[in-house]
Amino acid sequence: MNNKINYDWIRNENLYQPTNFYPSPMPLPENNLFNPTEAFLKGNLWKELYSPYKNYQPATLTPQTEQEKCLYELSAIAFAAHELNLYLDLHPEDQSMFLLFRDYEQKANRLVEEYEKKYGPLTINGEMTSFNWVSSTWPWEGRNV
Amino acid sequence: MFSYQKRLQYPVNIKKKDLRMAKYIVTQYGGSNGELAAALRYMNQRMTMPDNKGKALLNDIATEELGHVEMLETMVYQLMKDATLEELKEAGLDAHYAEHAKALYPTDSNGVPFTATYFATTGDPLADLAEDMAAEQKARAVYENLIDLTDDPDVIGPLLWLRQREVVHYARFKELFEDYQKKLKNGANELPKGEMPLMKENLKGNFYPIGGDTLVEQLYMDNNFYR
Repeated sequence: MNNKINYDWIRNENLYQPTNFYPSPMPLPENNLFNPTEAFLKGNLWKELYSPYKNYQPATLTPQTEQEKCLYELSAIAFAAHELNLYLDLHPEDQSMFLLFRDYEQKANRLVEEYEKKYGPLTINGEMTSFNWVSSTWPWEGRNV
Repeated sequence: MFSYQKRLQYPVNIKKKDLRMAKYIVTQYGGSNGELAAALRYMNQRMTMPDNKGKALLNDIATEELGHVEMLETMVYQLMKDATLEELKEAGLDAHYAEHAKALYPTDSNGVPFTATYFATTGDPLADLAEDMAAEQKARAVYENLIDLTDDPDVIGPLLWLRQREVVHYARFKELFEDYQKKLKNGANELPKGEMPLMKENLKGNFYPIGGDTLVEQLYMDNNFYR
């Protein structure tokens, strides 16, 4: 089996390139964190913990519609907030990480609202004008970024 | 309780059916080192963690594992959904078809159904956390075996991502394990008992802890914070 998978075919300049959507308002603590987008692609916010497998590179996600791009941004920032959540569980006294967590979490919440306004409910308690919870696509069907 | 967001934690878009990979990958759904076992393992153990840090960490990792269960289900479903009956027979999935048609069923790669014996709850935090660390390492190893078995980038992407989550969870469990171990070495006869914090209800009907960190309190009070 060929272990050296080449992802170059996805790294096409015409396609959507990941950027750091959310430059942090404060310097990242000790600069030991990936930015939210990079962290999301890697599945790890912590530079010191990141451990690649062989020479595989994380997949490059390529949202093709505005909806997919919105979901991508939301997933990235929510992931970074979740990583800080797990860290803060063990270090609740770390104020700088807490402030960063709060910042990411608020951004994630705003993005959920923005997404729901445009594309229908992500959560059952979001604003709905009719009950389209049932009609929007379920995440295991079709594309989701 | 739990609330649901109608999205995957990390996207899964498998375009090519592959029954062979479906048969292998299902083990990370319903096998001994799979995500379902992980979610239930931590969900049970969190009750008797000796302090609030431990309860929080096991609770929050268990919750994430439920999201991973959903990703694995999605992978198996997408790998199988377009298969014909002939293809299922050829791939040796006719026995699966007989009982479940194309529905999902948690088993390991050999078809052995999911069982609660895949995880333990001893009530001893060090024993429980040592099991959790081992579980994360075993799951990481299985993800690597699965990556070795395919060359479809649509399948490799989510597998690499899930593997990386095992790395992070292992590190967090290890940190907690070492913290408890140090407390015991420093003369504590037993680990501290966790106390239930006083709770207050905010405008959205969510409960939040009071009497601790004022910043944390303010955050929870903000009724937009918890959705």
